[in-house]
Amino acid sequence: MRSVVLYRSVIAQEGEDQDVTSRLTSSKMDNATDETNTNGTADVSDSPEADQDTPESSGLPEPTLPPKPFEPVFTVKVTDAAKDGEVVKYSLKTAKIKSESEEYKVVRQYEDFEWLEHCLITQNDIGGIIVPPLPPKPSTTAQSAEARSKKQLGNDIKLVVGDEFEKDCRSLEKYLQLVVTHPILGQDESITKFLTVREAPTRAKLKKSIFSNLSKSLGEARKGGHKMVPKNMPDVNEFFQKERDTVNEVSLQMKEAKENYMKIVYGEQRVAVGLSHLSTALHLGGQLQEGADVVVNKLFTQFSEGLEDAKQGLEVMAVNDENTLGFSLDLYSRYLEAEKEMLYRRTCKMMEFEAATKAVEKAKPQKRQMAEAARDKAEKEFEDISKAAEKELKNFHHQRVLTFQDSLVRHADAKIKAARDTYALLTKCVTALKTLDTNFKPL
Amino acid sequence: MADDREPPPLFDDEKPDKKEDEDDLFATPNEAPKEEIKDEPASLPTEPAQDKASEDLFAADDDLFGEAVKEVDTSKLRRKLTEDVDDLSPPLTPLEEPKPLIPTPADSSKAPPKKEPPKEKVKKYSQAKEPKPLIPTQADSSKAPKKDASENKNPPPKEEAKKKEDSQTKEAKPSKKEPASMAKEQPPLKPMKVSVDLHPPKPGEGEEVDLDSPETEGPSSPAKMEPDSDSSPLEAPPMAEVLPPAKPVIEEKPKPTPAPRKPSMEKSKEEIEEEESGDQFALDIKVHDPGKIGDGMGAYMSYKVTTQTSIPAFRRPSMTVTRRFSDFLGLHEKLSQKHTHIGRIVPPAPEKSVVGMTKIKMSKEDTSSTEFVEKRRALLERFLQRISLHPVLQMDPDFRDFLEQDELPRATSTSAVSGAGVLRLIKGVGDTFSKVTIKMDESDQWFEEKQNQVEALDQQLKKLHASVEALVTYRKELGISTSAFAKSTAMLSNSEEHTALSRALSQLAEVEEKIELVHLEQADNDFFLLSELLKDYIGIIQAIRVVFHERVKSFHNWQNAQQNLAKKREQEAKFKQTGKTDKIAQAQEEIREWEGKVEKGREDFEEISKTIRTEIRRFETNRVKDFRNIIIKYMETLMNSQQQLIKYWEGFLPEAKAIA
Repeated sequence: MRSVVLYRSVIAQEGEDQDVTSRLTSSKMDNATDETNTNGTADVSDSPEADQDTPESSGLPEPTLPPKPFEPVFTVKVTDAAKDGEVVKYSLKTAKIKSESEEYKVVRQYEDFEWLEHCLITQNDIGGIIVPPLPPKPSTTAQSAEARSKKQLGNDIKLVVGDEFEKDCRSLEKYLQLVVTHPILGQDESITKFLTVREAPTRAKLKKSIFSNLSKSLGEARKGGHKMVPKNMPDVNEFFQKERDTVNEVSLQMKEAKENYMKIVYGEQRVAVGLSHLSTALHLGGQLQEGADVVVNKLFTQFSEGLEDAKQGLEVMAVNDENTLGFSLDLYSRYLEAEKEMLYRRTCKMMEFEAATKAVEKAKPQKRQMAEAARDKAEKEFEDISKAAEKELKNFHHQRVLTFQDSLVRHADAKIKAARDTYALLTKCVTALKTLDTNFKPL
Repeated sequence: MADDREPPPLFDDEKPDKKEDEDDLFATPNEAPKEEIKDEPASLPTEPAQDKASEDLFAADDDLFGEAVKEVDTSKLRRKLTEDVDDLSPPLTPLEEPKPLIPTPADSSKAPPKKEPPKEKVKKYSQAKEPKPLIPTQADSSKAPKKDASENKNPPPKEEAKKKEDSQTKEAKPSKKEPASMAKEQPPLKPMKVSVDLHPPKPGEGEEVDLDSPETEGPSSPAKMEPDSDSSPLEAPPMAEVLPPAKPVIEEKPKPTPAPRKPSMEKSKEEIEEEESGDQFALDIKVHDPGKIGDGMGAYMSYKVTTQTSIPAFRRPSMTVTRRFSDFLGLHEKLSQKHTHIGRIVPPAPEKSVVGMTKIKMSKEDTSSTEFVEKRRALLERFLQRISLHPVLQMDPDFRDFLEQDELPRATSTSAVSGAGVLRLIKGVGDTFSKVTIKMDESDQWFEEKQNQVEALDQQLKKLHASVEALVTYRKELGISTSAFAKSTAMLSNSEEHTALSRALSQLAEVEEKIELVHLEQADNDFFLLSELLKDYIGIIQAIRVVFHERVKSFHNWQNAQQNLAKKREQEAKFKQTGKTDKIAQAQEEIREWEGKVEKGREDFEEISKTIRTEIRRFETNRVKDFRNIIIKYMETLMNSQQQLIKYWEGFLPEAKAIA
């Protein structure tokens, strides 16, 4: 039984998504494809079926872009991560959608992703674009692992949580997918290079000069180079006014929800550790093999197996929680920040336009023409960004709803499955306990 | 697992039969009493019967509920599991392993006819009334099922048997005829069972849950319950007379027999002398309605103690008194003064908690203090129940007074008593340690082993207790986090513009709130079942140490007496040598006196050793029983938690799917 249990947990950890996918496909064909693919996180399997799925997945945002449906060029998978000294290297597998035979395999590290992000932001007009957020750099040092363990399991449990390469892979893969499926960023040259050229981009040369300033320049680029926009600056457009109001609120709530949700996950892990300790303590039991001890030890052994089952169940739940709803909450707590930045950029344009309009009124006759030209330019810019932003926002929210639906469904599914498995194992254990021979020979 | 759940209805009918197979084994040696009891069934007291009836109702409810719930799960679960078989193998095991269970009951259902052959044998033996047949019987009865199973599917004998029994007994429940008859056939078991079923009400409930699950254990419970109702108090006396002759028979018998009832058999064997007067009576004690009396530092908690009993020594079958905490301590004090020094293990007194009590005194009904009160109430209840389970202590006049006197003579300055009690206990423990390390020349290997065993047990239980306490804390934290997330989700839902998503989120918030309760409930179960059990046993082990120490003291008394005797003898010899004849007479007088003391010391020592042995056996029997019951019950709470999770998430799933 033990081996089976272990196997189950391995399955759950390694192929969780895959597992959920196949389950969905088997039981609810009707909307399974849509659900699994919106998220598209990790259909790791190489089966032909999966390959067929993926194009659809990236094509899903299509209906939300009525003007010109965007066809993403690639599908991306982050298949593996390996630690090479202090550097974690991620293996990427990319396929062209149009011709499936074209497949690229490249190895990248986190700094390459940062460079990619930099390029995307600086080489595109990102005014009205919600730039997919790059996940924070995964910590690889022993100290950070320890700190993380403490945060997760509390100070009184002396266990170190291992590296979470898989989680990082998933986050990065999601990032790449968001970029690839983005109508504008997806056509960018740097992403194509990033995915297809074997050699990593100029990272080596530019490393120093760039990275000292990278975060700063990124921050500025994101905010559109402006500072000090009054927070409650009224908007000319009702749609954006509302959007701005809600996003500020929601992004905070989303962060809080994510924090609290992770607390649940950690709580589950902690209870699992508690159960495991108890189970071990039961196992260590009495060494005295006589009289009532024999029976009690038998009871304890069986009991400890039951607890072990319960623990496995909880661990599976914790992993699933983190991979489903936890993943989406995490993604959107960052993604909403990106939305905020985009709206900020637009608000800046709006202010520029307003300023230019005022300038026209104030302008002296001889300078009037210049002022009007400036105003027209600002107006055009503002209208462009508003148009792009509106489209982007609609798409964004549509995707957001789909993502949450998917993760909620998978979350509930995974919960049910884990609870049932645990229930089945517990039932077995209770049966064993009840039939256990409590007969003993007193001394 | 899905499958083993399906058959309950079918199974139900078979349970009694299967039970019978087991019971026949038991019944055989006890034939003798059977006849006597058959004459008496009419004299059953009504009250237990009523109790029984209500219990049955209750059980039935449980059944319905359990089955309904499981029904739902089962279908889905099975689908689930079969699906799983396709894509991943793990759930396979749960699915497959239970399967064999079904054959098992099926086999046993074929077996019932076997009842006939053993019965005949039984009669022979009862005429012969000799212990020898035992082994043959067993062999026969073990063969019997196979033979019958292969020979026949012949229901007729079974039905005849039923009819016979029907006419003998006026059992109302047709489906449970056999168990009823069983009750008649194996009376010696009854008194013991009474103790099992009636005293700790919780285990009782646990057993009823068994009915739901068709596991092999299931069968035993109806049978167990049934006999109690008709058998207990009045049938018992005759048995007490009969038992001694039957005793040698029982002595050998139980060991090879199947599991669950074993402990009670064991008990009957070991403590027959004591229990014949005790355990066959029901004594059910509840502590309830804690209330705060007074204000400020003078305030104290009072508890209602309600007793239901069939013991004739009590003035009424049912009574309720009001007691305060120090009364319980006083009771413990009185009991341990009387019994500890002769080697009886008196259940440990509940701990006095200054902190908890001060909180109560100062605060007005906050949650932490209600939790404290509930904890203490349960503790006091278990304390009384443990006493009531003890064949000698349950008959103690002080205990009886405690249960039935309206006004208890205020224990000599109760606060002093409790304080002193604790002090004495601490002192006693210290003594135990010093004496154990000094170590008397242990002539008795049994005691040496037991002492080591008890120490090891103490260590183990303390470790376990610490683990469980940690678990409780984690579980509560998980509950708190879940509640926090529920709140966040509710807020998200409020600001969500997408209607369906918003609705799903608010549903999620509700689900998480319910799950918080599941976690908290489970934390309570962790605590009240596991943690408290372990704590109780740690306390009992303390009491055992005290008792061991008493034995050492007794040994020293004896040894001292012997030394003194030797001295006196030397003296006498000196007197004789020196010719001081005048003193010889006095010396001889002293020698006689000391000889008496030595003899008394030896007797005391032997007596206490014997009592302790009995007590330890009792302790072990109870330990196995308690731990088994609690573990099973606890596992069932875990299962229940999972079931609730399944229920809540299944309720949520459609909502999530409906989002887009």
